[in-house]
Amino acid sequence: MKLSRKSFYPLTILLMLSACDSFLSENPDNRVDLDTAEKAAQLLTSAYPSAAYTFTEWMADEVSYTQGTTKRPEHVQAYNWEESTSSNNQDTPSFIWAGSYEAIAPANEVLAIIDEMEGDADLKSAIRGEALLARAYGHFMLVNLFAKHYNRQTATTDAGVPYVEEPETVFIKQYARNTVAEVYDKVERDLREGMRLVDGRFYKNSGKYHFTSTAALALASRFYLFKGDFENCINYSTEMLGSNPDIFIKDLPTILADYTNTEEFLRLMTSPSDNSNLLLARQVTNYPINVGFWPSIDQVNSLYDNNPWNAEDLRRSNRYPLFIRGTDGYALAKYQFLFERTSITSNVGYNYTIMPLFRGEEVLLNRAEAYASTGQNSAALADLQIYVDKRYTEKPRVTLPFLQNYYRTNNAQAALMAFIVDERDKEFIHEGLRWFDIKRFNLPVTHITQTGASITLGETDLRKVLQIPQNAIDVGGLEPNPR
Amino acid sequence: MRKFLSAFLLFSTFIYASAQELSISGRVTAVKDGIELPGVNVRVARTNRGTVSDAAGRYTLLVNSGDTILFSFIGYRSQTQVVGQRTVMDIQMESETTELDEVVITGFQEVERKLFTGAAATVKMSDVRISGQTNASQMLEGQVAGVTVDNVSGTFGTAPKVRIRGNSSINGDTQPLWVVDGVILEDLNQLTADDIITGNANTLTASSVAGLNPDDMESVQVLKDASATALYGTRAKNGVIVITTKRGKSGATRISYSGNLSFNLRPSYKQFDILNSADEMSVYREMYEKGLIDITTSVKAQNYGVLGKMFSLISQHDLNWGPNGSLNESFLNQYENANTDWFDVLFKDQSLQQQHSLSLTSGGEKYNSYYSLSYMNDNGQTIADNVTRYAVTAKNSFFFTDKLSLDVKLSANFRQQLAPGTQNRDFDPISGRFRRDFDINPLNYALNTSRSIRPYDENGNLEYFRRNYTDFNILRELALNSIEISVADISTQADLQYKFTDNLVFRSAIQGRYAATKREHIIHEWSNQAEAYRADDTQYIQDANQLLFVDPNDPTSQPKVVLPEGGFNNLNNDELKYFYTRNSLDWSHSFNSIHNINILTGMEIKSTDRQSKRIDGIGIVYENGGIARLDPNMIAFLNQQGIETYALSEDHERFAGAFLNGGYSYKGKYIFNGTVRYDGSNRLGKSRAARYLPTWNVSGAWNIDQEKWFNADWIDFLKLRATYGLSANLGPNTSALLNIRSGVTLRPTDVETYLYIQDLENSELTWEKLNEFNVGFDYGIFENRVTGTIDAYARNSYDLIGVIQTSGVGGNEYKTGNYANMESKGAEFTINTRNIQRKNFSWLTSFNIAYSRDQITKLEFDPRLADAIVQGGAAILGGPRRGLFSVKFAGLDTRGIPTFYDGSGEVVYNMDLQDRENIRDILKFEGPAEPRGAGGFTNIFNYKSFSLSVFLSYKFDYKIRLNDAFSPQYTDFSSLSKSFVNRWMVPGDENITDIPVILDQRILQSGNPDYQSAYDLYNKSTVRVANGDYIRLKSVRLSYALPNNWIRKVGMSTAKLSVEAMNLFLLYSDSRLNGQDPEFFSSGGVALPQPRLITTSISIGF
Repeated sequence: MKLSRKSFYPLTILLMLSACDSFLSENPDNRVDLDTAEKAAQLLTSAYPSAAYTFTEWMADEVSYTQGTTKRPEHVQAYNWEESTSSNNQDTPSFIWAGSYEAIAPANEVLAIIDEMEGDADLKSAIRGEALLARAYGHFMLVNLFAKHYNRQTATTDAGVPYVEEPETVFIKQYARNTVAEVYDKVERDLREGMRLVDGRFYKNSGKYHFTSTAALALASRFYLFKGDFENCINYSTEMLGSNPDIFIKDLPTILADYTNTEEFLRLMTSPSDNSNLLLARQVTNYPINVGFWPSIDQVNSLYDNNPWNAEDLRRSNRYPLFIRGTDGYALAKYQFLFERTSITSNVGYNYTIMPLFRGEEVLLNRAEAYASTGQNSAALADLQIYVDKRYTEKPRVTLPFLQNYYRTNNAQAALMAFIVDERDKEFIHEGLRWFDIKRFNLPVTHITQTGASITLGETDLRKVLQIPQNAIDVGGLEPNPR
Repeated sequence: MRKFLSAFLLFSTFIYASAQELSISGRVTAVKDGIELPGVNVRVARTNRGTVSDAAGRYTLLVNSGDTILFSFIGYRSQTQVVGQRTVMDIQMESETTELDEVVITGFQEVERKLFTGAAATVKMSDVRISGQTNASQMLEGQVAGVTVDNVSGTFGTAPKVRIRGNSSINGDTQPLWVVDGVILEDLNQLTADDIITGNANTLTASSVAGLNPDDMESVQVLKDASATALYGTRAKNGVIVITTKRGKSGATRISYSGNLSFNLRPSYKQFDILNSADEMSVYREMYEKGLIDITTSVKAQNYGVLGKMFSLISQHDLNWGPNGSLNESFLNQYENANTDWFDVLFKDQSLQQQHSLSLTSGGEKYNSYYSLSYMNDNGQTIADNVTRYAVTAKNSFFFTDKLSLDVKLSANFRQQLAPGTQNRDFDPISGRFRRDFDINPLNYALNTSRSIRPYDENGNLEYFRRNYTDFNILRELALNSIEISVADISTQADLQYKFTDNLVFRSAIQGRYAATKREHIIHEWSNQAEAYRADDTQYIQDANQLLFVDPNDPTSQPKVVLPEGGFNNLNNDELKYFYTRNSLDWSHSFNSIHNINILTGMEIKSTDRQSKRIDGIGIVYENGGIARLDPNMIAFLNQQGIETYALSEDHERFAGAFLNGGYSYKGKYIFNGTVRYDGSNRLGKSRAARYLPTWNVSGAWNIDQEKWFNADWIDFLKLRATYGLSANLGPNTSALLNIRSGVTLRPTDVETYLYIQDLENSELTWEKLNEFNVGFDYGIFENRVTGTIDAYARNSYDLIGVIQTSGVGGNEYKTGNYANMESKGAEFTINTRNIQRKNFSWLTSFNIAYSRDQITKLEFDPRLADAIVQGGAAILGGPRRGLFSVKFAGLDTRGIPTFYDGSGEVVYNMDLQDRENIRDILKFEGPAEPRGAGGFTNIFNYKSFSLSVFLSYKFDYKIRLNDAFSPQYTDFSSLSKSFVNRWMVPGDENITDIPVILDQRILQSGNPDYQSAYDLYNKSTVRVANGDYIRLKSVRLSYALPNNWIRKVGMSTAKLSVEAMNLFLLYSDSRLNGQDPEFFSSGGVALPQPRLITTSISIGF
């Protein structure tokens, strides 16, 4: 074929242009191209929020006005249930908001391209599973912090949070809030598919920093309990706990007997080798250090000294390390104090800690609550007994008469529920879960302020729903929550 | 054939010689400098008769009286002369290359100034060269209206902050584009204008201009407006500086040498307000009385001076208390009068700096060459710095035929430099201070160290005090803790020119360049910085020293030393690989000398690859041949805190552009010009949408003096110019595509490699753009005794890149994107006058002034309070690009502690500096942090062979934050400001003084913790601000050209001697500055002020 002169010039220009285009396709720096399944898996390591919701403890009921701790304005705002004005500090609503969505973004990036990637089909589907679970988890915690608790009657109209399902590709994108029901539906969809696909075999190390099928079942347990779908809660909890639920309960008697020093105790509490720790995450937070609000000694005593049997609670035993916060606050040892420095000679950096996002105790107590809620009292009692055996020195028997007597009620279900809620309070102190119970059960909260005044958060107080961060309202166009 | 021809020529000459009687002879010289020209073709027109001039430029030729003789020589205008009755005919040849003032060299083309429509200024290197100045970019200060040069540091290698017409970017680069011989000069390292003032070690190795030998430069062209820079398209937003280097000349081989020797004058305490040692001791005694220094605090103090040393010796029972447990006065007396002059100790007086430059040009009809060699050595202002630079250039031009010519250039430079060891500084947003641990910057040390501390004891041995919990002596530390820098930079360039016809020329330029930079921070095992890791003498120190390691597996154990042996070796290696090519076609045509058309079209391609590597060697034992002993605990210490000891970063730039420029002029009166360019770059990521950008420009000029009706005799020329166009620049940290980075997880267990999203995709990302309108006049009056330019411009920068806080829902809470706009307006005025022009005496003056005001018109995200109060300032809506803000001082309280107004007018001791809200209510806007106005004023007096020039540079309309001088706690290590004399002493003083009390121990320990913050805020308050306006006596030079008849006897053609003083003093500056140089950022690290130099120089030519 002979090219005519006329066709030669346009062809040359085309060739030059395409050569130019490929010349300009060079990566400008040492960024990573997301082009293999292995890299997709590595990206999911950042799909877990590094922001903590433990600041909700300062809004909940097991705190008092602690003297001598560092109190930044946003700490005091949390304690007074005022809207947070901090735009980017740790331990604030805006920090967990941004941190959760920051973790959702890598999941969406992976989900957008994983099917087209080269690689082992099993690995790819496991990656897809983990991404779906991370996305479901992030949205589930957001909707429970920034929206009303799920209510079958009003969920289709209650404002939830935006459920993000694709990567953001424009500079400023406008979002709208999905309803609580929509968010729950999408979480359920992602959760179910993720549970089916996830495969812990592909994780290196312990796998505790990633969603395994065990951790996924724990999420399902929490999800269905919060949704009020007790049957599914029982099913998934049972699937997770198996025939030996007690191995998922921290063996406090042994830990307390064996540990040699406080640091070691802290490491054991959040160790990946402890079966109770189902999912761990590194969280940037000042919570473990001397900031904010903590229970007074009276609060600690009244929490742990009161139980149906007057038995010794191991969590309040002499062996359990207790830190003083400020001059009159107390904290049960739970978290390691870790610090990230910007350089070897610098004292500037971030506090961080390792936080269990799911623990076996929660799944067991979830199941007990679901049993109790559906009238399966003996099954609930059996679960509680497993739990109580590892928390009280004398391993007292959990029986309805004891509980009914203690809670002064003839209603067996009410007594069971009261006991479960109390044990959740004791078990998850300083972990932030109490706040969700306060929302679920419409519990009122009273705080004494610095001046001695008493302030109260009512049972259905609108302030129980955290306000959407100001910048999400201003820039993202989201509706604020009513006040 | 050739042999035959010359034989024929000889023969014919002989024939004619016998036939004619007329012999003509003469000497051919150059008009410019009167130098004889050998090798000039002398030929009788329309014949083959001819000769060439000899080495002395002489020729003899036999002619007829009616003959016309043609003189021709490469590089010179040909001349014809009719013989007539003359027998002697001396000829002066005019150089063909037009004088610099008559053309504008844009790097793409040379345009006759009359026909140029843009705003540009030409600077001859010989006019602005301040002998003694080693870095060409510093020489532009005050020389060109609209070019602001802030010499933020005088350390060699530091790029000054150069801004052309103010600013066009808020967060991006504001430095102009440097072009050398038509090729863009890439920086070795990319730094933003804010990075330049950090004093970090990388500021020394960023600029490529520092490698150029100023003596190789012929001229500098500053292209200011959109028309002048149009051909640079998307890189032109900040203006362009075009350097043209010297080239060979045909004719006799000429050698020239220039050398200068400079002596450095060291700073002295007279310039600064620092207490002498006796006054200091009285303050320390007050601190002792207030319980701030005592035996218990001293033994566990991180740093101590004289008192601490006394207490420490007492506690070790090496010294007794004074009578009745009082201070040991006899011990203190020896320091009380020490009055150490740290400038004398650390700075060199009359330190020698020398520059030698040798160049050679040679050539004939078919080629010419330029070679140069230069050597620069600076012994350094201080005992801790010095630098040596070698530069070599070889440039050959070949004229193969009338149509084809080729220039080949090879240039290389090599530099070795020593600087005081330094870490990068960190910003602490809690206190609003910059921190630099282990800072041993000599200037900072001299200014901040107590004068009661001595470098040597009474026996002449080094005397130690304490820093970082261990022994410290600055002289020893500077010897053991240093940065060694070496830079090697080689480039090769070829320029090809082919004339298809007289009016169609093809040009091609191609350059390849490689530069390697090494910075090695040597921290010797005996240095304080290394010993600090081993400071564990007492329980107190073990508990306090942050550099000791608490084993998490054994937390009850004592903090451990992780550096039992050795020091550090922190190596930074940067590499630059650069390739550039441009091909263009230039066509010009003239119709009846009325319509002149010129069209230039072409393309260019640029590829830049940078690699930067950091390797920290730990436990290096230099004394034992540099073996490394790495303690396992060190690895745990580093891992636990997420500190990386190795870093690699890469940067790849690919750039391609095509351009078309058209010019039309009608009778040289009306000129129209237009340019379009289409550029593409990979900097925005792989996104095709963002990759390309067209830019354009239209401009016109009107030579009013050419009009027939124009008959003002006193006006020699008057040109009106106007421009409008779009230029652009790439913004900072931009990426249009998903940017994923890798890291290693920071966890106690389960460590794994992971990826994270640095930036989400931003498909809307585009270049930062600038629309500019410029109108200007060029004028010359009174027989060109007064010339100059006037320009006014309005610039609208848009799509500027900034950080914005988003809804967070997409996954990036903070995003960078195009959302900010900025407007600026300004005017420039230049006037050059020949005030007196006599035979033996002349007085020339040139004056320039420029003023520009910028205002941010769109910006949605405010900085933190902490960012707004620092010396560099911050950007907020409605303000200038960098505005300086202050905390509102509300006076001292009744205990002498400073107080401030918060946003609601309440009096407070502290405020949250992390806050971004209500910044306008809380802080006072002081003014711009960068000068709005700048200029220069030069007077040159020539008397016979003497020439005296006095050059002033000045800046105005901006504010400066005074250096931090107050602190809640002072140690006996730190020097104290003289203002302490007026400090608050007794209640009631708050009515007469603003200088806060020295807090006593009781208040420090039990009082409101906010009292401590009050001192940090005080440093950033309204009382700690000064005007930046200054006038600097930049240079005074006296030179003498030796008479020609003397120097000819020794075979020289030119010889000139001169003496010059640089940076003598400030003629005017705000008295509140108290010696603080308004231009200099005292940021520690490697930053040193501009030296005061006395230079003698000689230049001779053979």
